[in-house]
Amino acid sequence: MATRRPHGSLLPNSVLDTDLWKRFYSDEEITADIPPPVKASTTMATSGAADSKSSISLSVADQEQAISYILDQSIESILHDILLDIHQEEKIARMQTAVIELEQRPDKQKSAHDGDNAEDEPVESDAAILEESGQYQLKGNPMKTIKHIRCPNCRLRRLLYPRVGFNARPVPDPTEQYCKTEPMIIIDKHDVHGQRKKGVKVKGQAKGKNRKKNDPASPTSENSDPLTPSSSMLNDSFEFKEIDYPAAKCPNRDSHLGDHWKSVNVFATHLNGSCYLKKDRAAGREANAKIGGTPRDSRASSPKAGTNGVKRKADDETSGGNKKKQKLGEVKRNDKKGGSGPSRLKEVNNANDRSAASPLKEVNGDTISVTPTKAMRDASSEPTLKLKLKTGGDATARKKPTKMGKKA
Amino acid sequence: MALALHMPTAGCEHLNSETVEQIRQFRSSPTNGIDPNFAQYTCLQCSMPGSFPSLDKHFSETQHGFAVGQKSVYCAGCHDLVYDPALLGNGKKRKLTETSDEDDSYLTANTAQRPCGRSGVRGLFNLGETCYMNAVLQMMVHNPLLASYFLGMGHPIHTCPISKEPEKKDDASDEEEQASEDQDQKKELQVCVACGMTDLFSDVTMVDQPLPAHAVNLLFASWKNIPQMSGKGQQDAQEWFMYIIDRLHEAVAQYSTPDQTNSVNEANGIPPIDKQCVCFFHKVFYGRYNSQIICDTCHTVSSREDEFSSISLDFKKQVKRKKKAAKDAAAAAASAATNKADKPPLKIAIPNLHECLRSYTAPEPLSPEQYNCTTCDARRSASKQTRLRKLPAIMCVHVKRFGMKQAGSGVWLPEKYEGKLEFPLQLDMGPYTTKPPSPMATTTNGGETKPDAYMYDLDCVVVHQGEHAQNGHYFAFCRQDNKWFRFDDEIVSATTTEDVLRQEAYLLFYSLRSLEKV
Repeated sequence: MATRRPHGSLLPNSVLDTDLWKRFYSDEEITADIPPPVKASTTMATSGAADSKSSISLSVADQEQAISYILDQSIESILHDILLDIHQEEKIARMQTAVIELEQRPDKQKSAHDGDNAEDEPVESDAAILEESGQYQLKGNPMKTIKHIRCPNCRLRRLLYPRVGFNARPVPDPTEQYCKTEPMIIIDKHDVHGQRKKGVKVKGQAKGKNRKKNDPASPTSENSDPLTPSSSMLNDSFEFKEIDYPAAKCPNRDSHLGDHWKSVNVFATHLNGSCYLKKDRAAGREANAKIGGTPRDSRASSPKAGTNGVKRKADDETSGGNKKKQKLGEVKRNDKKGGSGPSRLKEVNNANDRSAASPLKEVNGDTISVTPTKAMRDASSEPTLKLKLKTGGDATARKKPTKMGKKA
Repeated sequence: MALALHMPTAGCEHLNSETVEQIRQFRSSPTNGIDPNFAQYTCLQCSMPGSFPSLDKHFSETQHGFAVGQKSVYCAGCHDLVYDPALLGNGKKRKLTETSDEDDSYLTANTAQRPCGRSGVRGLFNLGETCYMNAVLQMMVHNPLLASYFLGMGHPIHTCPISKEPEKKDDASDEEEQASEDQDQKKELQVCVACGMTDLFSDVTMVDQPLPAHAVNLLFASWKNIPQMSGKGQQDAQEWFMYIIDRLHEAVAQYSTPDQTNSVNEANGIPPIDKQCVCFFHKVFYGRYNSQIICDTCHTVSSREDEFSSISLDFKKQVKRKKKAAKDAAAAAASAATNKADKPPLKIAIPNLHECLRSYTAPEPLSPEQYNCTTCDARRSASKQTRLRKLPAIMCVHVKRFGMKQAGSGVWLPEKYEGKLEFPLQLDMGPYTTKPPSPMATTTNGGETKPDAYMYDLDCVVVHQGEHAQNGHYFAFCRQDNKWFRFDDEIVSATTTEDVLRQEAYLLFYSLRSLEKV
């Protein structure tokens, strides 16, 4: 059985110990060879163990007593360890705060008194005192004397509850600046910073975000919280950002003159293509044709795909409200067609086209695209480019089945 | 280091260095009466155990001051648990860290302050079907040992002989104009994975940015160094893990002939190892297993040893076995319960990691067709047993979820086995080694065998999502300061230990517990 251990004593990974690896590397014992198996290892040494155990006999009442004692103690210990972890973390934070608040004191006092007599006064607060030796000593119990927790690194107050999401509480003092080490935000489809993946729409928050956009006075940074008192809706003061894809410098510098920057979400495609592996569009098409995945002349037939055209027209004719309803169900299909459809349609309805363009991005952004076969995979990298360029309609025709494959 | 900052000198106003020393001695004395398995507090002066209220009473009567538990100290003056900085450090030996105060002051004066932010929760951008890489990378990024290596100048990127090559090339071409083309190509091929990894580690640990990081350089290095896995496409996370650590090892390989092991091996009939890599990555990721084949007729033992970077467990076999056992049990229960007209209890067969490891290390029979005994000089039936001889610091347990299935037409099709596998948060590998601790060993000769020597803690769980073997999505669960987070490419979300244990794991990464005592 494993010995009891609270989680608090596990090796922490937020504090970097830069010499750990050296100590590990020089330690010859730690991953040393285990002695090889004894040649006749089939015999089991059970006889000795059985003897020692049988010598003790317990009555039923004794056993019951022993069991209940062990159970009680175990449960107590488990609870103790959980509580100890939390108590220790909290109390140490408060102990540090006591020292930090006192450390900041001398500057204040000097500026206030503006003279030598400041040095004569003992530097102390309700929670701690600076001794003559230059050491800080606690006064009383910091669990009682300290009200707020300050960060030992930046000395700003720590937020104890997330601003939004699960277990959120309003920020105690919106005018104050807080330490950036904030509690993790827990909201569905969002990360711990309250960001969401590009293109992911969330019902409740999409609304909040729009309101945010309409309000020009609101600051964009989550730190400079708006001065307006937080209303019943906590979400109002929080901006749910979308994670945008930054550009990264291509490491394959030999093939380019100077630096080459590409959006990170298409990086594999970029390296795969003309940049490094030369598995570009033409090569992919050829390979596809070879294994009979998609016929080479598939493009020829795509404009004839009558159903596409008919559906698009119907879309244009329907009123706005009707369209929205449809969107819920068939967003991707319809909009993709809108985006990559013939240019003739673009002229018909400009606004419609724009609305169609954004879900298109969503499709591109969905980089965990999953394709059923390797043949399709190569094909899928091709339409991504095409969709962007808004060229031939066959991109949608081919893209669709791959997307379906993912969901299936 | 961070703990020592801004800490008061003592845990409370009642504690002084004398008492701290007393507490230390009390804890180390064998007769203190503290049971390591339970949380207990005993009075420092008279060793009286008790609960906090009873201790309070005792203190008011006797004027004793402190009660000592295994991990904490109760102060009568504060009526609270106190945490003294001198007692918190777990008694770690910081041989190399505590070099000099001069160094420390020099460092603080010359380095920018580390900005605050949520640490250890940076996502990784999906670069286009690179979730297999991201999942494994998150495991590496969250491992304190690897972080220490890559951020503690374990791999000096500025003097890396592999990455430097292209720069050298420019100088060389000036001197000798006719640099042959194939030589150029050879140089071009060298991109160091360890440099890419160092790059990523320093990028990921920048906490001030909520934006995810990206592993573009590493991806490129990986494609260059692992040609069979290059190109945009979905890959197997375990395969990539195996290759990447192999390439990391190649980047820093050091070979030596082990003397000690060889003499032991020869005595036991194991062919000696003539070349063994002693690089950091070998020590971290590679273990060695010993497989013995014992001929059933002449009982000759033939041994061989091989390195492994992950332990692959046969999930399908275990599920089958479990189902069969459950069926038998259900049948037995049903026959017993027929009189009572009870429904047979519905038992869901979930195999667990220990069962898998047991069957991995259990003797398996070999038929005469499979084995040719050299002593008998004939085909004989034999039994084969694989056991672990050397354990790595970071152990990858691979649950084989992908296999091939013969379809009706005779074509082999890839198949994924879904279903849960129970895995523990802490794992003792002792029983699966070549020298399993006997039940008596821990009590009789405790001096020789350390009970925690092969104890592992769960660090990371990689999950494959999707029904198909050919495609799907990987995400990882990693532990950051004892809190679990789910790393799904860009999105990092907080989760619970229960949720982690519920996952249908594909890769499990355990790290050696004794690391923290190094």
